[in-house]
Amino acid sequence: MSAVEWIDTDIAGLADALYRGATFAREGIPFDVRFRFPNDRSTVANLAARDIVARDADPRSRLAAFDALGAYDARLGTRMLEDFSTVPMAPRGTARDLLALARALRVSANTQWWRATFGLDMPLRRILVRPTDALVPAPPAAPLARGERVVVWAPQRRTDDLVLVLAGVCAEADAPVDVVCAGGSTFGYDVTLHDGAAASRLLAEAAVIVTTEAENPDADVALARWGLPLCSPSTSGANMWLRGLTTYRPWSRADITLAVSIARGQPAPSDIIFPDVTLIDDPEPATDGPLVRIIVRSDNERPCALTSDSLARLRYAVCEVVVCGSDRDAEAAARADGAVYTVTIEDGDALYPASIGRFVDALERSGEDRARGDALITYLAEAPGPPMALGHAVAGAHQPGDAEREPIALRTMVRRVPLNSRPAPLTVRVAAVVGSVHRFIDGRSAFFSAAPARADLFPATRLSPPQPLRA
Amino acid sequence: MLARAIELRMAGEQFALRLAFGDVRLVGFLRSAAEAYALPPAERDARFAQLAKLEGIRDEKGERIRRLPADIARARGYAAIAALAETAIVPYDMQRMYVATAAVDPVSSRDVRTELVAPEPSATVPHAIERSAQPDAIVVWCGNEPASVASVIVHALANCGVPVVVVARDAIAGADVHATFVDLAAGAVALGRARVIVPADSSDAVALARLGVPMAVRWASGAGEYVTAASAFRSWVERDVLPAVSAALAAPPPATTNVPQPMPPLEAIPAHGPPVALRIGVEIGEPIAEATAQSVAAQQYADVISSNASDAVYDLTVPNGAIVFPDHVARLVAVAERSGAARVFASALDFTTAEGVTVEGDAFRLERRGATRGGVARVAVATGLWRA
Repeated sequence: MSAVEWIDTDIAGLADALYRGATFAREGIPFDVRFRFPNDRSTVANLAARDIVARDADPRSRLAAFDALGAYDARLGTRMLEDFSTVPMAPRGTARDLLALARALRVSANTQWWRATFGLDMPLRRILVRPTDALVPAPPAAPLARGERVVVWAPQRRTDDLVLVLAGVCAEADAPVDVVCAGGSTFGYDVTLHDGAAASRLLAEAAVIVTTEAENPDADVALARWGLPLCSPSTSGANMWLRGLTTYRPWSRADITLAVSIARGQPAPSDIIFPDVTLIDDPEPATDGPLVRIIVRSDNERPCALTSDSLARLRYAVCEVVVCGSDRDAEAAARADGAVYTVTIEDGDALYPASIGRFVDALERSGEDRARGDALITYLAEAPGPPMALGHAVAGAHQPGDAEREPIALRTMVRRVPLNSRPAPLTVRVAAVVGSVHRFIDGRSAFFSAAPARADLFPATRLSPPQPLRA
Repeated sequence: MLARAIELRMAGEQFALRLAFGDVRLVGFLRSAAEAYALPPAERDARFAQLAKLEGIRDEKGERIRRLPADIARARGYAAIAALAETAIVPYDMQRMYVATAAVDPVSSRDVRTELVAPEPSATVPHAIERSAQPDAIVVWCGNEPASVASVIVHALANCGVPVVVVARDAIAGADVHATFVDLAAGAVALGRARVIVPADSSDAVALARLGVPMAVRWASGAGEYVTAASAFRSWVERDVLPAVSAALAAPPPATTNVPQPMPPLEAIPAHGPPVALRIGVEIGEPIAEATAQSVAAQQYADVISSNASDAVYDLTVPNGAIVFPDHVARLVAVAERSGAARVFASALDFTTAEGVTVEGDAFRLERRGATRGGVARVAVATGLWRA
């Protein structure tokens, strides 16, 4: 397997990440993506909790409002809390495109995988990596006696994001509560705020540690080494790695109160030694095999640099390239003897280095006549000099019901020559993006999810030297 | 199942509970899909197109489907069993852990403790098959399940150009259904024709992977946890099915991997420790309920002493009318000792509510004598029945 790169991104960085991903794909470098899809419900519940403390200064009278937020049928205004989404449509589309280009989503818990699959509305492959957290100090060598303090662990968050946790922990604790956080108000709760420098001392005196990260188990797994009872948001996925963990639903104040008291009486969680869970087992695409004829439809004598460079970098060695100036010539080339498979592309299209090998593998394994892969569309606009790339979107080869993602006809399809005489041949699918195609936006509305209005974001897709893509 | 769980706890046994829930979002959706096959083919396609838009989470008007009263009642039952179990949910896979946790979500006041075990290969799958020289079919394996669970798959593959064979206990009823249905007895022959297999769940997937035929697995079945080189589809999203199957046609054979460690044995609860003064709380003149007295007398904890004894470390009151399990005192003391808390609470099952069985929080209370601080701790499992 080739060396695998990876891209770590948040929502704000998705457009840049898509550009990086497109670059990796063009270079034929497999990559994984780490994108933590937010836990919508806890995010929205915490925002609502912030409003509650702003309106009500009395910690006791706030409890009823907090508990209404925790109900399974909680509403904000007329909308169900569980209907809220914190990720707008445009970044959602960009994340879909990025993950379509990627080998897999890299997660440290399956809850992240689950959220991303539902949030992005696509089945995702995932790579599971063991959680790590550099912010958690190493525990002392000798086992610790249990202390008396409740330690809330949130070194990178301000208390604005911790209102429900503070309310839950303080609802009945008569033990001192220390919060390791990035500052903020106590909102009237009897807690002491600390920065990360005090972490080791506080953890050494803890009776129970309350973690607050609803979207990943990194801190939980690192803190478990301290050998103290731990309670953690159920959405973090830490119970995949730790046995005996007490969990709470992060939108429920009552859960938090209960979890802290249950955790106090529990043994410290122990590690589940999870086996190798890297389930990706992609064989290397073929580099040798039957002859493949690549037909390039071009109105120019030579294909543009983007196309010819991509053909020069194909890893499959047994190819011949035919440049045809007319549809009739292209059809004749597709029927000509010699090649076992043909693919027809347009001038301006690029095939990724592993694409032909993937196609050949798919056709040889399945015995079918046609194989398709997805394509990365780059949307272009006329500009002085070379065309300007405005954005990318991945078009699925098999999404006919999805109006925004139209199928890519023959341009990412390899066909057997001649076709077998099956009554209703199936087109097999290469589960990868196999190339990029370009499409002009000529005044009509066109869907593209990355949508950055930044000309500098896709410099590599500006065609150089300038070559018309259309006659 | 709840009666069995209570029986075990009344006998002083600890137990772990395995709840193997089905595919998420599918209950009503599959029913609608199966019913669609009863329609004439033209109307059926329109119905499937409509279902594809609803994706199992919206009703006919496009409104999000809320939990029904029956779901809530069922969730109360799950939560009650979970409250009695040492490890409440032992799912086959991470998907089911998530689904099972979500199942008790509407009523549970705390999250469910979970453990992970590997799927056992399904016994209904043949160990070996005779492969056809020219395999030609997509085999949808439902095992002993009804064929209706494969309705969406069968419809999605209706015009794919490859014969579809469904191994199930019955057939989808309807005219012009583009599939052949066979029962388990003919399963081995059907598998011999398979170019791609679509297993029903992770147990089937692990067993079927031995046959060396490419697979397309249901994403939410958890099979992807254990089988490599399998393409996945969401079984409530029809448009996922054909891409997954056509990718599987081009994929190498699968392999199984990723078997987690077995769960360690449950930890015993100490039967000795600091003395506990135990009393049954009765009003003046009120007779002690026989069931309460018997359950108190049957405590496994050896150091229960008179309620007036001055050397007791803890005081514990059992409400008259409640039944406590034999490990009741031992559990409360174990939590008090471990936590150093001044008060320890435990929950009980209550069958006397209008909603049916509920988990009554803080039904029992143990107090450390003379403690002025130390906070509150709670026992993770229910330790008795409230109001017998």
